[in-house]
Amino acid sequence: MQDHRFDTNLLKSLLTTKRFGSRIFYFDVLDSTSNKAKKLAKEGIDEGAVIIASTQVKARGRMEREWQSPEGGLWFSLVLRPPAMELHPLTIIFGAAISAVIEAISSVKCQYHWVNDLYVNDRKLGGILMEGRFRGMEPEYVIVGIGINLNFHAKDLSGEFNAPPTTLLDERGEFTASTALLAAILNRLEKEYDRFLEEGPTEIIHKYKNRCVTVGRKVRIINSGEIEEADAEALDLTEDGGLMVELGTGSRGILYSAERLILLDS
Amino acid sequence: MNEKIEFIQAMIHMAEEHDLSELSVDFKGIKVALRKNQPTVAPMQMMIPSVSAPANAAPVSAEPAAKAEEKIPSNLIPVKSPLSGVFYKTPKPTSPPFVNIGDKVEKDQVLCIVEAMKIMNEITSEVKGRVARVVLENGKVANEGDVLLYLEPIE
Repeated sequence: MQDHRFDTNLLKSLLTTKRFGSRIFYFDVLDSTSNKAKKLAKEGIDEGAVIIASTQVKARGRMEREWQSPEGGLWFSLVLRPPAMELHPLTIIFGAAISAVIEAISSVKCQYHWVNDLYVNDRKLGGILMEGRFRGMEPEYVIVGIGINLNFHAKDLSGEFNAPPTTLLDERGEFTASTALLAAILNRLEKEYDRFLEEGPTEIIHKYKNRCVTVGRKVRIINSGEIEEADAEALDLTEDGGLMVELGTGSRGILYSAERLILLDS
Repeated sequence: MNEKIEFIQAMIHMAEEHDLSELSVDFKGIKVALRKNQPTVAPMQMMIPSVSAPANAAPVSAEPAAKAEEKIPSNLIPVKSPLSGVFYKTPKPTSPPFVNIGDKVEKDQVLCIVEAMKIMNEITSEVKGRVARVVLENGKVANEGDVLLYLEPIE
């Protein structure tokens, strides 16, 4: 039986970061790591604090949808305190960076599906949900919630899914060391975040472009702006992470939000 | 066993972080030799070679944010969107709105959400007041600087 408890000392020893992971909070059970992170952020905790839980009993996806987080997954949230700037490209940047780290650690080909999902072979391995809080025009904090299906089996998940779920255990047939994976993710995320703050998103998004499984695929867009449901071809990413699509009518546009974006068979 | 896996993963992690293509380590009797495969990623099929998108480009078919044509009393405080995104009055589709017209709100109370690329941004009140008007409909696009709602200050 795999021991799913987290080794925070090992994590600290593997970090090469300046801020990310400067404070590490580990819990066996939380309602959600993002709720805890929000509470800590409101109390004034510094950027880079990381909240990890072995199990979340009330984790959420977008619009409060349930996100199942059994023992054996990598469930954590990161507190950011960004300056006032266009922050939306961070979803793509973080998703792409995490997919690269997962692939390097596990040798499983991992990509991101626009805008916030991690995919392996068109199956969902994980996701990112970022929640910010603004006072006036200034961001107070942004919480990056990350969930990766790691050391359990997808058959243990239940419910309806936009894409069939998978786990790294299913893909590799062996356990992945969660502490080492988290350290590598935090190291990479801080590097890309600092680069984003300094240079903006363009070069980073370009660097990771081939990690986007969505581009070049037919997709079904559900609830985006005036579109209730439409099939389209995903053409390209814009330099700030928007998804350029061509609808069946031939009209083109850029998506910055969609309730769901389903990959259709190629 | 677990310790060995952690050790090997840490080596992989080190090789990955420092972009090493090969790494050999002999530590406490554990020998690890890594050689990184070069990624064999097929070139993406780009239908448009490059696109320069304006930072605030609106989503497909989005209409301009609603404009309040009527005169707004000068005592009302506008709550503006700090970013471009989709305006949500509710935390989830089936929930009641964060606030309704006439509601008293406290300083720092959440008034609504503006979402851009799955970053759900809570917009909070900077003052104690009462909700006088909600300018946008749920699910409509707000551009940066658009007024989302108006508050009437309460002493």
